[in-house]
Amino acid sequence: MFLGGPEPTLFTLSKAIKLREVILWLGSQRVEWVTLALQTIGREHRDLKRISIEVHPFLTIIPASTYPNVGQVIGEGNVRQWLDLDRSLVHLQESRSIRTRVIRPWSRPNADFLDSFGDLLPEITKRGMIGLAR
Amino acid sequence: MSNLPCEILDHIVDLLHDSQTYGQVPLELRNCCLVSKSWVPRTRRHLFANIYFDTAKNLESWKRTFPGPSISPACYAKRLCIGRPQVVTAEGAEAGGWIASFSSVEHLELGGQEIWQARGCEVAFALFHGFSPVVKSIRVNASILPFRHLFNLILSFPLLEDLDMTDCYDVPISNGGDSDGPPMSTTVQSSSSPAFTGTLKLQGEGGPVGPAARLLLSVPGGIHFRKLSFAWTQKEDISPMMALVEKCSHTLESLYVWCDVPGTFIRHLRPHR
Repeated sequence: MFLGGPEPTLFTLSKAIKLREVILWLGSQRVEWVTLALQTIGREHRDLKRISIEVHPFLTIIPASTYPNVGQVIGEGNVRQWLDLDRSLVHLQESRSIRTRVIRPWSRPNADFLDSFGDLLPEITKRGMIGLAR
Repeated sequence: MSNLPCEILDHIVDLLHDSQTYGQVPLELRNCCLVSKSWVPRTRRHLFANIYFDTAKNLESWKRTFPGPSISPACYAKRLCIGRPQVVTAEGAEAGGWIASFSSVEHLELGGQEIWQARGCEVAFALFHGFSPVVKSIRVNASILPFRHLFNLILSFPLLEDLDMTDCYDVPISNGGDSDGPPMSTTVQSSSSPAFTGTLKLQGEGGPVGPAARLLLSVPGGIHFRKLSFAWTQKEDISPMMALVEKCSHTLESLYVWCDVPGTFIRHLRPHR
């Protein structure tokens, strides 16, 4: 997990091979730490079947009319971090059958939510690899 | 009714309890206590399962109603909540006092928008040390209190599995136990500790949770939580939280992480122009 500071630290899950469930609440436009943490999940994590992601409601209510490009809101560099996360989630699903579940904010209908979220995690959204919750 | 097997009567009482809505005890269940003496134990098991003392007056009322352990239903309590430190006095430590009568409590809850002063906290927590040998979970909620006293209390329950500290913040204490003077090093003093095999919930939206994490990392027997649930907003909390994950990695089955460090997050964005 890199969140600034003089000594960045990696959030490693490599030894936690009994993991069944991981739930991550993403309140930030910076998600590099999540991707790095997910990269420490290996073949030994046989019981892990699902990764749940809950996002800050603000990330999903960005009006397309005002912000046609999500990069204008969260920064182009941060968009790249989301795309890396997207690729990691796809990889986990394809190589280890670990599904992604996105926990939708109460106030957001499914379609609207997926529309906004598709800009952040396009590949898993396009491939229908997301299981919405709530 | 008197010919019915007691198992059937017990089942009827249990069903009445299950019918409660919004936490309200059904009138029918309360009336069961008035039917006959044989109905009292089963009914009390439900009526007095959760006891909450939020004021000294509240506790006084309890002690007036049940002056001695022989008639007190405290032994039926599974959950005991102490809302304020002022509720607890040294009087409770007397042999046969009210605290000792809650010997079957499995869930202990402390706090609620309170600042627990060091001295009062030391006295209050000392009275609760190991009061129920079957305590399995402790929840400390929305309180500012000296962690050293809190952790000495926590470690006095050998069967403790779950620990929930939500919005709890440490108060440094001096050698004399007051909040003035140089702070003592906050380390766990006990030579033994519970197994800590259940759920650990450390959440702090208004301050650091690192001090609690560091104390847990120092408990003598180690920690073996199966579920970790973390929420933090301070950058310096990251390292101790990750150390907890590392420490529990051999038993960890479920991990929940919520981090919202100011300055990096979306809520601080301004409308695009």
